[in-house]
Amino acid sequence: MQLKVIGIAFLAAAMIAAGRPPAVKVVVIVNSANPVSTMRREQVARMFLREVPAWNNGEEILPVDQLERSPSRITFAREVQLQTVSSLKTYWQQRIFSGNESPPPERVSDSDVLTYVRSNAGAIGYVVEGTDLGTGVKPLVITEDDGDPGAVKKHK
Amino acid sequence: MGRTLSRAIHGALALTVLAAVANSGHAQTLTDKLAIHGYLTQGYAISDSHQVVGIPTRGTFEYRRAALLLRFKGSPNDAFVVQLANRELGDSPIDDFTPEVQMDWAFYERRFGSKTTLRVGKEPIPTGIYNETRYVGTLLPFYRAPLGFYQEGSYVSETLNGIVLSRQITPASRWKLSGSLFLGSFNYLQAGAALAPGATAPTYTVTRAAARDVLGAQMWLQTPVTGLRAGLGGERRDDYGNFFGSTPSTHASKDWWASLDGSFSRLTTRAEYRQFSFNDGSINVRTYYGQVGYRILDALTINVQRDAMDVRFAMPAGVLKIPYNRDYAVGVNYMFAPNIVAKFEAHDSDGLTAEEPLNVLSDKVLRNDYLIASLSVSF
Repeated sequence: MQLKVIGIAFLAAAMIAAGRPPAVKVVVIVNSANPVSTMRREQVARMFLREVPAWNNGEEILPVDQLERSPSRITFAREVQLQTVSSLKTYWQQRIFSGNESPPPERVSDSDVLTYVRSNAGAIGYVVEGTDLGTGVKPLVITEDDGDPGAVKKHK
Repeated sequence: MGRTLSRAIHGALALTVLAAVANSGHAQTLTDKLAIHGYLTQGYAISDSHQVVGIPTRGTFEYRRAALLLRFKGSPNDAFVVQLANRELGDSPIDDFTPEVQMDWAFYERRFGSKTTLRVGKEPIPTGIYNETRYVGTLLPFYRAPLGFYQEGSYVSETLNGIVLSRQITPASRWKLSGSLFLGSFNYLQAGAALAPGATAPTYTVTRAAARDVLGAQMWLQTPVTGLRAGLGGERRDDYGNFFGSTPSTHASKDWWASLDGSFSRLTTRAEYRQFSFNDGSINVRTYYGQVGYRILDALTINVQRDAMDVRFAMPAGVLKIPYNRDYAVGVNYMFAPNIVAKFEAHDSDGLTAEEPLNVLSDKVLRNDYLIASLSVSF
């Protein structure tokens, strides 16, 4: 038991030393009024790059991010956007300062993201897996690019 | 002296405010409709023997570029963008022709679906890798975009009064083709040695000129190699008030360019070639550069650059080719965060770009070294 505690402490110290927050899994969420229930990973990534302005029903797509140092943001960038948060920051600087769209707004916590998604019909966000979504918000099933249902990511 | 002090105070205040905001790490989005962004690069520059792009031999802190950008999104498909900008170009006489704060951009943008965008007003010209972000220090490997290709202060306008139509031509796939078409006009400055009426010796003179009936296009091909793209563009226009001709004068000008842009995890390689034809073809400029950057640590990047420019004059006796500029640069960038970057760079620049009344047809190439240290922030 003592060894286990020491082991966990050592792992935590190593993670802190490496400047890397512990890995988490995330679940992509939308407003429960949104008829979409499944999306391809690449579609979600394009929405967060603001390359797609509206849902099929005409509702404006409102992506919402978490703070750049949050573990869920790091996971989402790596697993869904296939980039690092730092390279996405640079991407957005290039977009912003050539007169294009601004990046999605950032929220400081899962709870704030849930509030945002709950209050905006076109919103799409992500929270740590296992978070109580409450009412007004539903999880999306995210598939790989080929749409193979067998390759569903574990984002639920 | 008073103006210099005032500029220094304004610069210091602006830097402090922007650095504080930059530290917050994210944009100041007041609402989901209005976004406010900004950037600032404050530099110190010194030259060893001649003044080049405003850099004097005594050194200067009046080397700065800052901008405040406001984007209001009326709907998912409509936006209005305004950018106010300030530039200090050291001791360059060009500074006397630019206001302290100017309306850099003012345009309306309309999106048609997810593939087509139309801009109307005063907007950046889609030219090469850097033009649209040419002053954003946190994105540039050096203080400025390569001088031969992009110029600064004279013989260039970063913006166009008119329209820019952009479209993603092929669907998002492994090979992605996009293009922009632009049409309009702009004003610009010309600088060089000129003999004033009644004068016996030439002086370094800045004059205003205008480009009308500007028509151009640029295409980008995104390759299946992540981070690698290639571009091709061109432009034609009519120049009025041309420095090289009689007054009033109208001369056709045209240019084309090719770009290769590779941005990988630690390595950045960029190269561009541009060919201008001024004054109905009597003056031809060929310029090219190559840049390589390698991120040796997460925050530390080393950059090298070779920037060259040749000018060819069509003379009665034949074509006179002048090696107008050869600039070799090495720089070190330290990234405190993606939006806070410090740079130190050294340039070995041989040519005829000095802001002196040189006769480019007969004078010898001048040897010149200069250094720039700068801090860039953006939010």
